[in-house]
Amino acid sequence: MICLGCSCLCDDLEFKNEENKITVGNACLKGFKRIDAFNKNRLISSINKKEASIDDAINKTIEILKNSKKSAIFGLENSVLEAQNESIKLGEKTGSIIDNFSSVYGGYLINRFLDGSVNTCTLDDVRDNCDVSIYWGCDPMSTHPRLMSKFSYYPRGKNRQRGWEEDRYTIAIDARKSLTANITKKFIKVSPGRDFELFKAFKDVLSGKLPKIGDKKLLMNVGTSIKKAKYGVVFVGDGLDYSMGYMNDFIDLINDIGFKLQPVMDCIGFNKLLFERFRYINSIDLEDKSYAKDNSIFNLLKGDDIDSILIVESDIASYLPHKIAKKLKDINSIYIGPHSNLTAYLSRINIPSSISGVESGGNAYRMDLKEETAEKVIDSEFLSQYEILSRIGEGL
Amino acid sequence: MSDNDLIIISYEDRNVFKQDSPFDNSYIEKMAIIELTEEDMNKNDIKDDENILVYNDNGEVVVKAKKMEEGDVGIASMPKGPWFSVLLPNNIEDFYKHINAKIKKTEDPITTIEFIFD
Repeated sequence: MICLGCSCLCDDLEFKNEENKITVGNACLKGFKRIDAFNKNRLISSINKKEASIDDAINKTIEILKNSKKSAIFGLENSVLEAQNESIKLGEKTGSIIDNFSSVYGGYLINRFLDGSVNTCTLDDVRDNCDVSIYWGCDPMSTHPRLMSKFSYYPRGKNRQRGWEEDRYTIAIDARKSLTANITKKFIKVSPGRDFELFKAFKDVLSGKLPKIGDKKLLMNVGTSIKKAKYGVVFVGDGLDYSMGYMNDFIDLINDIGFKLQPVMDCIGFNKLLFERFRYINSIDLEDKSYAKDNSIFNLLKGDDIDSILIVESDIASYLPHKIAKKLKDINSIYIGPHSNLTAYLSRINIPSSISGVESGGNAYRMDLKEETAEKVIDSEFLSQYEILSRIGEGL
Repeated sequence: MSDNDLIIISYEDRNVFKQDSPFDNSYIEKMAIIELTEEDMNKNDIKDDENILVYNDNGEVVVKAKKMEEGDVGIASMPKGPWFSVLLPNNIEDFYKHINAKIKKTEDPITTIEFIFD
């Protein structure tokens, strides 16, 4: 089966359901949990904290959206393409603002990735060819646990038959010694907020100068490996985005040294859909198809422009500053998702959905934009997110 | 910079899952923590597993202190989540960059989710 636990979309999970005993082979902890939690902490349908039928919760949502002066749709980073498309249709009907996590971090990089101005490659190319991989501000061993074992470090590839021991050189750059940094061949610790200075030091090294900061010997050593790379890839995560802010120079250098760049982020599939339709990846007002920074979830909840919000499988309340997240209690907030979380706790309406890729099928994009089809493997009484969004749309 | 001034960086804990309930003890045990170097713990007379108040201009929260295996003095880390979010600024430009905060030992219990959000 295909796993939708993260944007690696591992395609080799072995699922068995024999005599009500479920076993899963090849999954990481994240993938296993996505399946194993099918009967744990499930979201209960409710209106204003009181249990209600799903029909009533959907009807109440329709009523709210009909009466809303301005609404927003947020999330869908973990949803299948069918639900993501349906949310766009719904947003066009209601003239909503549509946004996702990329407005909080990683948006600029993903935009460059999608507009084709960044050299990139597929994860299959990485497995077959990559000899130098850099993990900058990301910790795939925690966030995308099989990225390194399936693609970038441990596997034997077509042109990398001697594997990680001899054929692959790996470098982690981070503010803390992450799990990824524990297994890479080199680790460069960067002081919080000083990635840009480290980047400039690398630029010096690569143009034959001595670096002005950091462990000069280590930087020269890593710089030599980068220069010698036959097929280099830089995996970038939110850590770099937070620290660097302005990414153009960084992207230009990666392009100049002939490395490929791969964002390690989960909302890239929904970003691709939005980009293809509107040329923007987030913060879009579907009333006039315009983009504005003020349309980001951060600014929407900080201000007073929306009176209702529909959030689909995205626990935004756990990550935004709590004073901003609390705003969910003051407006008509509706949460759709398989499990209960803090966002559901703060929302006025909860509508439980099936678990995508477990209890309902659908298509999704891997982080390198390869499309995969996930099948349903467990029968369930829950509606899929696509069905819930369709019913809300029909009711409008 | 005084002894109790810290830079806090955030990380994603691989043993915390989207499917977990934020009200479960196991979630709170993993998320309501701050990792400190041994030197910072000694400087502030804090022992492993003691409750400490972490505070800055954005808010304050009581979490459990954990000894960091390897790190730099003056730099602590917290898992991304409800307790860390109390310390975040309300300005998107500064959002999720490293956070400056102070710490002090407390007898108060770990801050509950209900207290943060109600």
